[in-house]
Amino acid sequence: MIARACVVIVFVVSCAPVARAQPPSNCFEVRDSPDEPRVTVPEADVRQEIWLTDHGKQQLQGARFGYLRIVRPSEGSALPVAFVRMLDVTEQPISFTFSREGRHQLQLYAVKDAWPSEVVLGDPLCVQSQDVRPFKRRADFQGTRGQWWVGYRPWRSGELGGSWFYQRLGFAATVIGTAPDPLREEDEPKEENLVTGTAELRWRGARGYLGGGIKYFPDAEPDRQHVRAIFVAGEELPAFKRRSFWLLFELRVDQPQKNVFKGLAFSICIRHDLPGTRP
Amino acid sequence: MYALLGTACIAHSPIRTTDGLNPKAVTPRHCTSDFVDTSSAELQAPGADGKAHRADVECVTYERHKPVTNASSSLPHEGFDLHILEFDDEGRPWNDAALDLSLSRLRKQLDEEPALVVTFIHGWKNNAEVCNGNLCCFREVLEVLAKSEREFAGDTQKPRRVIGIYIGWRGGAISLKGLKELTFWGRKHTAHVVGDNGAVTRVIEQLREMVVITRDRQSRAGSASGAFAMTSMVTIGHSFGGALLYSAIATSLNAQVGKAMEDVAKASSAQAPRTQATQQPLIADERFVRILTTGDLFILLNPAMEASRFSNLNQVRNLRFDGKQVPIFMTLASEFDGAVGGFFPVGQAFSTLARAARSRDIWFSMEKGFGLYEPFHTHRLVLREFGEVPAPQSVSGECRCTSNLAAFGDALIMRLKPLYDLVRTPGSSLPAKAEQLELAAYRETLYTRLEPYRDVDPHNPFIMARVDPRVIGGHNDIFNPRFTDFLIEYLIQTEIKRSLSDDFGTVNPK
Repeated sequence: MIARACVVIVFVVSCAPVARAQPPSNCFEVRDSPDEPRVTVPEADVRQEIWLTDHGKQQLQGARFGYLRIVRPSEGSALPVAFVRMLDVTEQPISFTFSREGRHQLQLYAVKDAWPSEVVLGDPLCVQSQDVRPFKRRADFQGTRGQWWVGYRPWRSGELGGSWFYQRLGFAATVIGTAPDPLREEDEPKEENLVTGTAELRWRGARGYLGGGIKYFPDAEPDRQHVRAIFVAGEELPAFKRRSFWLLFELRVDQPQKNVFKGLAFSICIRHDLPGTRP
Repeated sequence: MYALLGTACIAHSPIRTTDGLNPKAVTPRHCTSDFVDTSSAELQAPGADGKAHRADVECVTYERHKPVTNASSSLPHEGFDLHILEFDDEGRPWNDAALDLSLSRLRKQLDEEPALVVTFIHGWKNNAEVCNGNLCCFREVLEVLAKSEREFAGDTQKPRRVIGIYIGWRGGAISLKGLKELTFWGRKHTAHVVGDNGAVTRVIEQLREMVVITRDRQSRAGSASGAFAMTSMVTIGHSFGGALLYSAIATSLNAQVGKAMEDVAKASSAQAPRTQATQQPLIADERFVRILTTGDLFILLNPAMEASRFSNLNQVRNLRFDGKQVPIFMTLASEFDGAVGGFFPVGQAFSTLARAARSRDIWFSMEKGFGLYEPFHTHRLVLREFGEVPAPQSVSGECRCTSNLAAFGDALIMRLKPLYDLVRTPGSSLPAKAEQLELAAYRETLYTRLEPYRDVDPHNPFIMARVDPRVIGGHNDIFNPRFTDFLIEYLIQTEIKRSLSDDFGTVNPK
């Protein structure tokens, strides 16, 4: 009886540290990068965002920094490979691109000041599995998409516009307002058409769009029509806070005449997309 | 109007040498020698004496900077050399004889003592004038490196000679404010032409050959012990200088990558080929490749060229590399680079009008800056928020680097002392094998940390890193102490790895 009790005690004592050493496994939340579904280039691989959960923050015991170690499982004869990132609780998420499918392990470590020697991680505070699955690349400009934007036209005009595309073909409408000339003398004629509007058909290409349509001028001008033809082109520039800038060109036929160039007017615009816009 | 335009244009002529094709070109009268012994203090001296000295330096391509031994205001160093090599708009040396003289001087120097050869190619709106901003900062970097070599060598060893090579070209064509921004397209094209036309490639290859032969001799003679006694070279290009450098080396780099890819393909030929349906580039085979160095280490800083030029080199991103692979190519681009991040894409929108893109993402790679296209990023360089970080500063004066690196240099070297001690101490915690030194894995330096942005192999020799604005605060903020520290430390680690892996550029590395 005593011997059996001793065996039980020895078993409990020997197992207890093992049970205690099991680190928790719910420290991270992994989401697809918001850029991912739009990506068509083969370089992109699987782009993910890794967030530290409240539980993960608790494991860091109030520290601002921690290490994230991503372990890729062994493939064939190759050994596992690990990738370390520093986690800053105040700057989340961590973006990380995976090039291999399958089960990866995410580990959380406390930070020790290591410089100038190599970083030594110690024991993980948390271990979590993450299954990386390939995403299906899809072609550009699928389905129906809406865009809306504000634009600036040098020097005194601004525009507000919206468009709706089905695949590559779209319809757009803009309202353009012009500020009165502050240098205008009182005896000069009143400025006309401070507000105009356009309606266009657009064809979306990889770089931007080409289109044509009409521009409406509400005030009458001598030798000019109220409705005039326009040709437009837009080139997409890099985004700021995930919202694209655009460089727009507009060629307007003010007065059809024999000398074609005399009756044309050209303007440019810088456009910035508003939230909710899809390319 | 024409007179104004005439004065606003920057002449297509050499600055520190004479036009070798023009028999009437004569050396200015005050130039009595083909080199000048100088120091930073003399170059920065105000008044008539300083002016006269700068005029003397103006007409030579070789500056020999004096050693500093017992100065209360500066850490000691053994001095350094600076060679200026100038190229015309077609990429030809302005003066072949001057270039040959510089190269023969370099050959002799490398024969005599171990050296660290640092080449810098300036960018847009810069040139080889004595007090050009880039050149002033480069001198201060060389001085910091000379002090670093002195500190590292300690009392027992002779420090390596620091040799700078400044590659000058006509970085600006118009000096008039506002109008000079319009030279973007012309200067970008010129930078690629200078790089493409071969003379810069030839110079880099000649330097490389000199360094390899010297190192081979040092290695065989056993005259040098440890990473820091070996001759080494690093080549840096900034802005359009990065574009120039990339044009000069891209073919050989791409060839090396082609060879590595073929090695992998041969190894996996027994396996089923990847089909169109397999979209995810899961690499089934894990063959380790090794790309031989073609010039030790190339570094592009805020390069002003389109990202699409990297698309072939980016093919190696998912390969596994041999543990002895040393870094070859590094791009560091500030996230706060207004010139490349903001102005450059607008310039590209016009200059690529006649070119089509296959997809929206490929269009982004055509218009975005080389280091700013997300799918190519392998790393991010972030400010390490521990300890005291030197705040950005600005200083003005004759021949001064506006980043005030000289003022921070001594403090930086003193703060790097623990690293030098660690490297010097036998049996320290430094890796004993090249395989343990993973230079593409997470690394910490005094002020920064280099973090992998994707699951790139820890020995990948191609690093494409975006840089925290607190480390490089803008297009021209490349000479600040935070970033200089990273460069020095990364260079030290690269040289340790080269030493451990025995990769001295010889034909058959072990």
